[in-house]
Amino acid sequence: MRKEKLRFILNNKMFIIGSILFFAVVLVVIFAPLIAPHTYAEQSSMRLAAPCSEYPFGTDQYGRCIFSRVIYGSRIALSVGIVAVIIETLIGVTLGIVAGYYGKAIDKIVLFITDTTWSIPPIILAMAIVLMMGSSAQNVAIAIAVVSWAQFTKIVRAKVQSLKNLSYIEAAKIYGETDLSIILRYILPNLVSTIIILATLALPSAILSTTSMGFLGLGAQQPQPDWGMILSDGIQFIKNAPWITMAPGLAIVWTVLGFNLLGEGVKEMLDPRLKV
Amino acid sequence: MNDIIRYIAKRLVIGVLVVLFVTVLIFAIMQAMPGDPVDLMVDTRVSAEKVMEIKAQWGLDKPPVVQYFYWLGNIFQGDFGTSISLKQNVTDLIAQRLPYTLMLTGAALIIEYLLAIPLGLLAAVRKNRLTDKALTITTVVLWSMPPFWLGVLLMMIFSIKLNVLPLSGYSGFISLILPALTLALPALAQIFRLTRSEVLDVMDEKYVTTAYAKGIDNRKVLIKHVLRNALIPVTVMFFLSLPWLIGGAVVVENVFAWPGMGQLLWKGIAKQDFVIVQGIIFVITILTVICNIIGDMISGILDPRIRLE
Repeated sequence: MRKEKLRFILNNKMFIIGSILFFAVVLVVIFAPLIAPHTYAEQSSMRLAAPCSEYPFGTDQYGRCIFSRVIYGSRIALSVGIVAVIIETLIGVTLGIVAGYYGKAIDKIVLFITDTTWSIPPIILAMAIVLMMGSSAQNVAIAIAVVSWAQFTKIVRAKVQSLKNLSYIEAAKIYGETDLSIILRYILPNLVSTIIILATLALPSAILSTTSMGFLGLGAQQPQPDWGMILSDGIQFIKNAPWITMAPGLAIVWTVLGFNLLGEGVKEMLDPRLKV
Repeated sequence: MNDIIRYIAKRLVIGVLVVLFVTVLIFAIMQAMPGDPVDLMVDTRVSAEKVMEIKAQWGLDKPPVVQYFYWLGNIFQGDFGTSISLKQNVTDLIAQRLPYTLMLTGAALIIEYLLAIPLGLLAAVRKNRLTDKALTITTVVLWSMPPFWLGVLLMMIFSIKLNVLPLSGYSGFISLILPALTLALPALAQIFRLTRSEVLDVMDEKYVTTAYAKGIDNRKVLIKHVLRNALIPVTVMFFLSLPWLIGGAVVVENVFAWPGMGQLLWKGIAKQDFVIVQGIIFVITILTVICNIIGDMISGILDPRIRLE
C-alpha cells in the first residue's frame, strides 16, 4: 500500500512540476510584449554581443536581442503546435470512429491508409508537404497534422470496436436511432477521456516537430522568431557566440517537458491503463 | 506452421501495396510543388525553344500519368534518374550516401538498446526507489530534448571545450560518436519506459512467482523468466521505431554535416530537385516497410495470438 501511495505522490509531483512549467509558458505567450525588453525584429549595432543586463541572452548576427526573440517565439511554437493538434485530432478521431463503427471494407481501407502514413518517416513526409505548399507557420501546422493523426485513429478505432457491442448501443440501434446520433450521443462521450489524453500527449511532440522543421528552415520566415530557426542560425557562431543556441534550446526543453509531464499526469488521472 | 506462412504472405502483399501507394503519393506531392525545376536551373536568357528542348530531354513535357509510369518502371530497374541540380545519377548519389546513414542509425540503435534495456530492468527492479525515480526523470528530460540542441550541446562540450572529438563532417570512426549519441539519447526514453513497464507486468505473472517459490536464484529468474518475456514487445518496437530514427537522422545529419542521405535530401529540397527528393523518400519508405514487415513477422512468430487476427 505504501508503495502505491509513494508512486502516486511521485506522479503527482511530476504533474505539479508540469503544470508550473505549462502555466509559465502560457503567461509568457500572453504577456510577451511586457516581458521582452525589445521587439523581435529590432536590430542594433551590438552584433553577437555576450549576455549583459541590456541583452540577457546576448544578441545575434544582426544585433537582435535573443531573449526577446525567444519570448516572442513562444507564440509561434504554441500556436503552430495547438493548431496541428486540433487538426490531427479531428482527422484521427473521425477516421477512428468511422473505421471502428462501420468495420468491414471501410475499416480495411482506413487501416491501410493508417499503415501507409506510418511507413514514411513523419518528419520527411512533413518536409515534402511544406515544400509543396510553401514555407509558412500555417503550412507547418497542416503538415504536422497530416503526418501524425494515425496514432489517434488506431487507439480510437480499438476503443469504438469494444464500445459498439455494449448493450445500450445495440438497444439504441433497435430503437432505430440513426448511426450519426448513436455516434454523437453514445460513442463520442465515452471517448472524451481518451481524446483528452491523446491530445495532451500529442502537443509536445507537435511542438518538437515544429522546431525541427524550423531548424531545417521550413516554417515561419525571417524576421519571425522561430525557435528552431534561431537555433540553426546560431550554430554557425557556435565557437564565438555559443549563447545564441542556449536560450531557444532551453525554451524548447522547458515547454516540451512541461507538456510531457502534464500529459503524463492527465493520463494517470483519467486512464492509467491506456497504452500510448 | 501453415498459419505462419499465410500470415507472412499477407504481410508481404500489404507491404507491396503500401510501397505502390507511397510512390503515387510521392509523385503527386512532387507534381504539385510550386516552381518548375527547369526554369530554376536555366538562365533567363535561354530561349523558350531551348527550355522546351531541355524539358523534352527530361521527359517533363509528357502528361503526369505517363511520367509516373515512366518513373516507376525506371525505379524497378534500379534507375532513379539524373539529378537536375547536380547532374549526377541519383542511384549513384544515394548509393554513396546510404552507407553513412545506415552507419549512423545502426550505431544509434546499438547505443540506444545497450543502455535502455539494462536501465529499464534496473528501474523496474528498484521500482519507486531513488534509482528508479532518477532514471525516470532523466529519460523524460531527454525525451523532451530536441535532438538538434542536444547535438549542439555535445558539440560545445566535447569538440569546443574539451576538444577531444571532431566538430562535424566525417573523418573516420571517431566522427560517428557525437551524431550517434545525439540520435540515440532522446530515442532511448521510449525503449527504457517500455522495458520498465513490461518487466513490471511480467513480474506479476504466476510463472515468475512459481520460479521464485521453487527457490531459483534471483538473477536467474530475472534474466531467464522475466527479461525473456518482457523483451517481446521491445523487439517489435525495435523495428517499429526505425522510421522515427531515420527521420531523426535527417535532422542530426544536418547538425553535424554528416555525409548521409539526410543531407542529400536537404540539398535536394533547397534546390527543388525533385528527382533526388523522390529517390530518397522512396528508398527510406522501402527500408521502413521492410522493417515493419520484419517487426510484424517476429511478433507473429513470438506471439501466436497475433497471427490469428
